[in-house]
Amino acid sequence: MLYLGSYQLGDRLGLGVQSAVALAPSPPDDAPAATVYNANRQAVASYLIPPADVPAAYFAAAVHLDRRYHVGRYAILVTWVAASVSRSSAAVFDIVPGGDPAGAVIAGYAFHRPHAEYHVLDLDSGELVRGRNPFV
Amino acid sequence: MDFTGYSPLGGQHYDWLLTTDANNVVHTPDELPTYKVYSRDGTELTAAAGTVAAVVDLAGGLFQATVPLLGGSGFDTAERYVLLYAWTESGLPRTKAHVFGVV
Repeated sequence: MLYLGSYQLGDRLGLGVQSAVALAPSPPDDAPAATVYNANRQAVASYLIPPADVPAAYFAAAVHLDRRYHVGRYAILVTWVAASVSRSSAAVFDIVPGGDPAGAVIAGYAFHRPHAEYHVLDLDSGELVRGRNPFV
Repeated sequence: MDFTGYSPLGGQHYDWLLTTDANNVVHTPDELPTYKVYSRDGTELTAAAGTVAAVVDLAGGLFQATVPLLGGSGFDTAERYVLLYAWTESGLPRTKAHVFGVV
């Protein structure tokens, strides 16, 4: 049970798994499936993990911590079948306060007007957010 | 022995147990696993022992334990503890240990 660390909403979590039989790389019958559970044991998201290095039977994905996630602790269960035997691995991670489920701001533009100041922000999820009269 | 994160004193440590072997092969326990908690010096925190809360995914061999981190049970901040799981599989004893921190 690997601890993957702490993340904020909008981050991308690196998830990797190697399929092995008797400690030697062995391709699974199908793509490994990952299911993320929250602390209440509810499944919040599921993914199929694509191959990253076929000879090494290594599969990897970047999991976007989007609006399905909230601050708290999660477990990821990865299951696959290799050599006709069911296998699994698991990891734990925390989501701490901060961040935005739509991702970080990668670009922005300000419109100065006499009555207000408008901002349009481009988030790395591709979502555009607009705001008025920002303050700190 | 895997590290499974930090949890706050007075709160709960959510921990997950995977009943697999070194080849990631899933093994099904005969019953819900139990756990004991030990401090760094090997002292058992007897009031903290318990049984895993529930099966999360039986086919995947995933179980969850919820450990209340009460000061009266012997937990303290800035300390690490060992969570030792025990269960049987076809009558044979199995164990797995995790380490977690209290903040």
